[in-house]
Amino acid sequence: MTTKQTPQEIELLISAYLDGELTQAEVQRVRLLLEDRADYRQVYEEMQRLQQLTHSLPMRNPPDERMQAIEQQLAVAAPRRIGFWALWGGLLLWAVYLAVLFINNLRVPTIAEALVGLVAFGLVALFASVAIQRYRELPHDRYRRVRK
Amino acid sequence: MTAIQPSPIQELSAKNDVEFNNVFRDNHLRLFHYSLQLVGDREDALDITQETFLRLHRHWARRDESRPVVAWLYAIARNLAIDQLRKRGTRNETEEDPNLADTANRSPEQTAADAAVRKRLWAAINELPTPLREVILLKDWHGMRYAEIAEITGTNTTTVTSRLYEARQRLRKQLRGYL
Repeated sequence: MTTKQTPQEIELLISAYLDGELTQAEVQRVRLLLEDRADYRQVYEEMQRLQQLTHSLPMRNPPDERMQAIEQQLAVAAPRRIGFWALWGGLLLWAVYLAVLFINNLRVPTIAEALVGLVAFGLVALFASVAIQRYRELPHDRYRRVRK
Repeated sequence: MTAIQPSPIQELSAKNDVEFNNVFRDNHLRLFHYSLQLVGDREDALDITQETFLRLHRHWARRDESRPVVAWLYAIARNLAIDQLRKRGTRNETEEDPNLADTANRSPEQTAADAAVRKRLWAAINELPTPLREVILLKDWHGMRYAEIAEITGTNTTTVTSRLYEARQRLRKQLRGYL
């Protein structure tokens, strides 16, 4: 750092020095400046006081019940996602089933056939989502099936 | 004696749940405060906190583990706060309650003087342009490193350094006689 720096550039370095974000060479330079120059020492002390004051600014916490509600919502978010994918999976299977019926019989499936397919794939999707959820909720205990 | 080991998916799922719960427990209050500092409204800040964790949860299993989670969390909250401010068009002033400050071992005079300085400081911080306000709060209130602030604000450490200096210069000017 041999080039002449403006006071603004030096104060910027002091600001970064306060935050511990300088290289070793820059730290040495700032330390020498703070030893030699009362005006820069004053800048440093004011910035330091400002930092302490900002750090100690009090802020109110949110109500506990609201934070608990957020935590509960996060706990149910995963099952809801499984249900979402099960719904779309079931609808996709139903559409494939209708297409196969159409290709095999070369006619539009009847309402009864469509409804039977809908109910069947709905039940499959429901079973799959419950099974996945139960699987995820299994206790993650390594020794739960150890025979005594 | 036969032990049936949990499947890798099961182990991964359990590990993910524990890690996510730890992130929530360690960060929910500071994230609420950050959101409040950005939007200045408690209800909006609660909504942003909730939505941030929901989004984090949604992408948790596919996260990049080399990226710091806290910076990611703050970046999501920041984007949501910007959207909220765009919708609303105005920003409320972040509330401050001097009575919440730690008054242990302080005389009534000192406590009153501290409260006056803090009130003035809040006012000065609220007057800062948003890019300067957010860096000074992320650094001095939340204790973030420059690299984390750069990641959150989508800038680089050089910009963070100069914005912090600019913010401190303005605050020193506003609080002349109090520091």
